[in-house]
Amino acid sequence: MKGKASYTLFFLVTLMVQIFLLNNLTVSVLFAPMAYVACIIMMPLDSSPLKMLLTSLVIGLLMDLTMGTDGLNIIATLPLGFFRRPILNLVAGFSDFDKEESAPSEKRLGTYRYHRYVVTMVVLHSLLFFGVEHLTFDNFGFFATRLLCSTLASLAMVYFLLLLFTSKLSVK
Amino acid sequence: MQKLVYFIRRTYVAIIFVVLEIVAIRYYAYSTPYTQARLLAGSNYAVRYIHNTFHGVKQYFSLRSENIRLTERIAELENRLDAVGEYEAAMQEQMGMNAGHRYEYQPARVVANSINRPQNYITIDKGFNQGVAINMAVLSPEGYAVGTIVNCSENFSIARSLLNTSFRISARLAEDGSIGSVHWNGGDSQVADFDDVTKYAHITEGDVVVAAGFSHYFPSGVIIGKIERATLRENATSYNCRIRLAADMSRLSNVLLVKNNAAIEAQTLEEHPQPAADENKQ
Repeated sequence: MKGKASYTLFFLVTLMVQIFLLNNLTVSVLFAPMAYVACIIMMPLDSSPLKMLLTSLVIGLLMDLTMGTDGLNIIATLPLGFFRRPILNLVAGFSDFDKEESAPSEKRLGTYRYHRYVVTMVVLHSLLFFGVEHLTFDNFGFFATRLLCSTLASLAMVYFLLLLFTSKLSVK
Repeated sequence: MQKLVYFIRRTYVAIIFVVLEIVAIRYYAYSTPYTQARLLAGSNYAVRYIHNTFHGVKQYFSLRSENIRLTERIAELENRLDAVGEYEAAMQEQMGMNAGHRYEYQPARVVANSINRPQNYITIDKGFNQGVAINMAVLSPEGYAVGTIVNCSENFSIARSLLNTSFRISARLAEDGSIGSVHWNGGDSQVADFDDVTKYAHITEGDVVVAAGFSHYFPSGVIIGKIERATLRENATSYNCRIRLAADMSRLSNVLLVKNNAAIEAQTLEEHPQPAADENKQ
């Protein structure tokens, strides 16, 4: 119960930060941090593929409605939800999905594998989001710079939120 | 039916994912004319790429038939060329002109070649039986002067190499036209002397030296080498030049033999420069 409350709080805080802070932050057109990816990254390890898919759909839909992006967020979040298990398996070498009920953490995956997993998820999301948004090879320099800056900003925000909540989420 | 249900149970999440993704992409694509145009452009690019790839593969497999077609075309053109040649020969015959070509070329293989003696010779695999005759010119495959035939057997011939201190050839500067004589002094196998060039000649380094054509063996204009250095002789009447030979004499494996069909006629005439009546008068 305590774990569910922690997840809910984490989800709410992350989505609030994204909707009310990051979506309205206009530092530069090159910076578009996507902190809400943390919600998908931190889903419990035993979450079923359908649960992951539906959660990704809801988060993507919510972001589309608040950002006015007409499906772009759903396009980027659905593959993250669907491919999370293969990604965990490939980059973190994790396969005991049914035994672990808690969120991914350094303790469960190992420091190196955990960070590889987080970075892979954020980079994949950024690639999908900005790739579909740009969808052309014209002005490739701008696209690459925007992709790089936004990915780094997203990573910074995701790690910031994870640091705040990791201890609470790792309760069984 | 049970198998279908089992299949759907196993794959329903993937099916839902694909359906949702397609719906999202379609919704995004049609959200604005701009995204619609970009997606259409991307789609066109992908289709074009796939089409080009398949076209390339198809072309690769049709190369054999393409080769056959080209070979047939070459044969057809050769036949046409022969017909034109025969027509030209017939026309020349009718007009009373010599139908044959002045020079005839034939390839030969080098079976022995020396470059490290004062008197170097080249042995080639063709002789009298193959139409080789004494005094025919020998060229490298690139068409550079190499030597002249000095002796023939039935199936082999010996050529005096340019790298033979007894060999001399009339030559001229390709640009300036000034004449001289090329001979080898027995030293470096890539260098020869070009002597007796008039002091009024404009010689610069790199000028091409070609056969003058006076000997009737070498066709006029056959490249011998390039000027490396030119020095005015002590009595200041002519230049002595050093030339770098064009033919790589140490790597000769094939040569071209050149027969001058008009050589005997020209030499006979040169031996009797005045009409017989004039000679009797004298």
